[in-house]
Amino acid sequence: MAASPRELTQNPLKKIWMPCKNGHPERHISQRRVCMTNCPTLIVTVGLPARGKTYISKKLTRYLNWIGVPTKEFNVGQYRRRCVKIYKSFEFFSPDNEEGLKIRKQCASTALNDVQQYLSSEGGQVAVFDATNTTRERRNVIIKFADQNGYKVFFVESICEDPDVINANIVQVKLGSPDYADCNTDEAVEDFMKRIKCYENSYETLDEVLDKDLSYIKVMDVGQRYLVNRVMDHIQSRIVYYLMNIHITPRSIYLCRHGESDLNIKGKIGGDSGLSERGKKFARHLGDFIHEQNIKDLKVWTSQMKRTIQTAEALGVPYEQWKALNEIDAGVCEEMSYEEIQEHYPLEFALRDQDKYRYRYPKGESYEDLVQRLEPVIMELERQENVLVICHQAVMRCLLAYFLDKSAEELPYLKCPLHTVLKLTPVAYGCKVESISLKVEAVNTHRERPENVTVNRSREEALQTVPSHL
Amino acid sequence: MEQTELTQTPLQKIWVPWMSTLLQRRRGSSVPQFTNSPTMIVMVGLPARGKTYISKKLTRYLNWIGVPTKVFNVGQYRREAVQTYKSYEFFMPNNEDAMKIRKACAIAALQDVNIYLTHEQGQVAVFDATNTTRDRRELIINFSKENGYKVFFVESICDDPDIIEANILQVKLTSPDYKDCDKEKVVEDFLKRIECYKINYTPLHDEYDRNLSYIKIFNVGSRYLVNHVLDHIQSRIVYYLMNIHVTPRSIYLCRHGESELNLLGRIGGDSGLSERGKKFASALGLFMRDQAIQDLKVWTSHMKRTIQTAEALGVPYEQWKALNEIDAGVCEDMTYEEIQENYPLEFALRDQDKYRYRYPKGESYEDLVQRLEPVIMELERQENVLVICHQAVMRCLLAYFLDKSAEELPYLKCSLHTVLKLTPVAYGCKVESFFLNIEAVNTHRDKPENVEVTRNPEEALDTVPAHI
Repeated sequence: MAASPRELTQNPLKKIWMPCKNGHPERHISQRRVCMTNCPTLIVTVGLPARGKTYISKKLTRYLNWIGVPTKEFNVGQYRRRCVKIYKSFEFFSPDNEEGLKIRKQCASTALNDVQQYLSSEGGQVAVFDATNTTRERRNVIIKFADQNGYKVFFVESICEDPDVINANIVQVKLGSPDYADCNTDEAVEDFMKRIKCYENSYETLDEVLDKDLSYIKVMDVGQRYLVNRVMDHIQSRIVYYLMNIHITPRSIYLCRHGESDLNIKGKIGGDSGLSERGKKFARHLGDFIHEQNIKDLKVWTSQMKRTIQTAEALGVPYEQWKALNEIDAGVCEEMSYEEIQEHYPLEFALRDQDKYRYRYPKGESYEDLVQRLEPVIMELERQENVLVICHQAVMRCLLAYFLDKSAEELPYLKCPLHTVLKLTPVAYGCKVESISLKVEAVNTHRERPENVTVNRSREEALQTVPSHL
Repeated sequence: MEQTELTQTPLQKIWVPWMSTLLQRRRGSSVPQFTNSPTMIVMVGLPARGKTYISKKLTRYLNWIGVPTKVFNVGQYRREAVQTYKSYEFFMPNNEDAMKIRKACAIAALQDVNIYLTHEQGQVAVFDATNTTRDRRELIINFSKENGYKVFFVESICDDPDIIEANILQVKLTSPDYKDCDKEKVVEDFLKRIECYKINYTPLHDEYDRNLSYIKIFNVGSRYLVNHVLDHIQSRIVYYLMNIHVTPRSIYLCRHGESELNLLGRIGGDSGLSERGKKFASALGLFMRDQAIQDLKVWTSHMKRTIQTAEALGVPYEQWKALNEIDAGVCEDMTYEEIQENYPLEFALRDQDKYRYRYPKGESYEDLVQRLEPVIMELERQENVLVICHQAVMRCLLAYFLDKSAEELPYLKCSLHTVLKLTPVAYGCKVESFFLNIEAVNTHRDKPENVEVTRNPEEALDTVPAHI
């Protein structure tokens, strides 16, 4: 029955239109974000030790959280370490060790209980169950558990027989494991190889025929080949695309902002101004820095705003302009100083301080919108090797948050000063950060969250943390 | 190193070094580089496995996202060479004369590929043929090496007799080869034709072909094998192929109901529906209910007018920011008369190249397409969907489904209060237009005769539709 359309009101923070009654928002049926899936998903890793399962689990979890899908990993090895305080040797994993098998099965159960807690009671949308899961029997237990709870299951199997890759894995992440805290390198490697052997005999890989109704991806030889079976929904499709784009070739990503701009000096946000004298100096220093670093096949990316392009021009190398790297659109506040925003839009200014990640400028964007906009940039950064990204403060915060696994709360307050290059190098399960200041003075554009974020605060309280400017 | 001055190109608002407007090649490119050499996509598979369907769809998608792509269907070359098709016997492996002709056709097609990729600025060529033998694929690989093209194989494998028969009925019955034949004869001959190829069919092999870049599609997408993806464009092609399906469904496109700003002849903004717009929303609700669609998804933008329209349907809907109307920047909320008065140069530039023209501090249609790509990808994944959007957005989506060029796209007619129902059929899309009988202003402005910057206001405003 077609009732007359409900009145709409615009949520003051996110500027989302929703139905209201007597001026108050009503519980409404529209979803504000695109539906990834209609039920929680359990991603289950499969593979022998040292095949990159934990690497994939952590990376995938980081990516999904960044794009706004609450995700958590559950590493059964960690449960085992909590249970069996001291690791003695590979014999714990021997298939004849009944005591060991009991404990390991118990740990898997405990982990699954926590998964259920996360997905059914804590608002989680994806759980990554990181364990070897090399037998069909174990996988059937998981499938049954998922069925009972209404979760979809997606398997990620990593297959690799290249001894060099396996050795490199062991050296990168196993030597530093709590299991081998008191061993020397050779002892650790020897023990770990024997550990792998324990799993090999009972390993049942996902089979074309026997497992034809399961949803899974087999990653073979670190991404040379993929077998994808029965992708069920949007989130699984995105996961497959992501897994197919990541690689482990060593490389570095350099992030920096444009040189100081004329509007920066005046303390004004947004706009499309050119570089100040100091900004131009930074651009030259950046060129020198890049040449000194002697980076192989460096790609340079900028936004389509004048200040990043001017910066790149000074490098004397080819660069690509991405509109997606443009600074956050401050809508009606474009080209205003914080003082002017406080004067003209004190309510907006306060709302922004209350939830800087979700706050959308009137006729502008939010950090949340920025992340959506930047997703293809991240995907291409994953595909690439050495890249220098010359961008903007809010944009750089979003990219940095992806690489350093920062939450939505931390992201808008990450420090990204002008004239500073961050060099990110993937190492083990994370990212090493080196901060290089190119020794050219610039204004500070970082505004901390003030103490008072209520809408009735005074002008002084609001402007308390504004950095100085002309 | 001296620092060059930058200037902003007037049409696309791209910052470029001053000097590049003269002779020098500019260092910066204004779009990310998908690949550094042309790519040949080579189809592999027995007849009736969907190779031409995939070729055409992929070509349509790549062109829409801005990658110049063209299909080269060897069957068409054969039809030009051998004017009349007699029977499946032409395809028998021991028919030497026919083999000679077929090889010559493949080579002629490759020559045209060479012209397209090397001399006509093509970036991707789709070589649509069975390519079922290693010899033939070797020939193609050598050809590509000589010319510096990357090769990506797309193999379609299907042994489900129902799917194959459905294919034959959908697209072979109407083939020029079977112009005057009855249905049974066609199916019988075509099945024998397939048998001819089966004898010498060598699928891409795990070991032998491990250094080739390819995707194998099994049984219309329930399984994929992806090997050795080399670059961005191949990765995007794989993602696209893994998201498309052939399940019958319909996509409904319409704009929000008439808005307050529409009535005033103003563009952009975020106004609510007019009275007539509200009437349309109710009518839309009734219309969709009468269509009796299973599991319909409804999508809107984040703008008030599309959401108000969806509210009247009384069903759940999803809001996509990506579906927001084109951002007219400094011209937001203006009438065309006001744009002519305040920004006559901009107004003229827009008429000169409406697809690439970017509003100052706003967007271009070209930007819109980039923004809408994830929407198209999700539409491909989905089944029955109603998209309530905006004029420029609807034009972009429609251009994708109906394979319209960048030149035609900004002038596609998308009137208020009219629903377009798109149903995939054979190699294309059937369109049905439903005007829901509620009057609305016309918001379609045709390209005027005079697009010069020197034109007078009357010439500029010649085609502006009437408003309050």
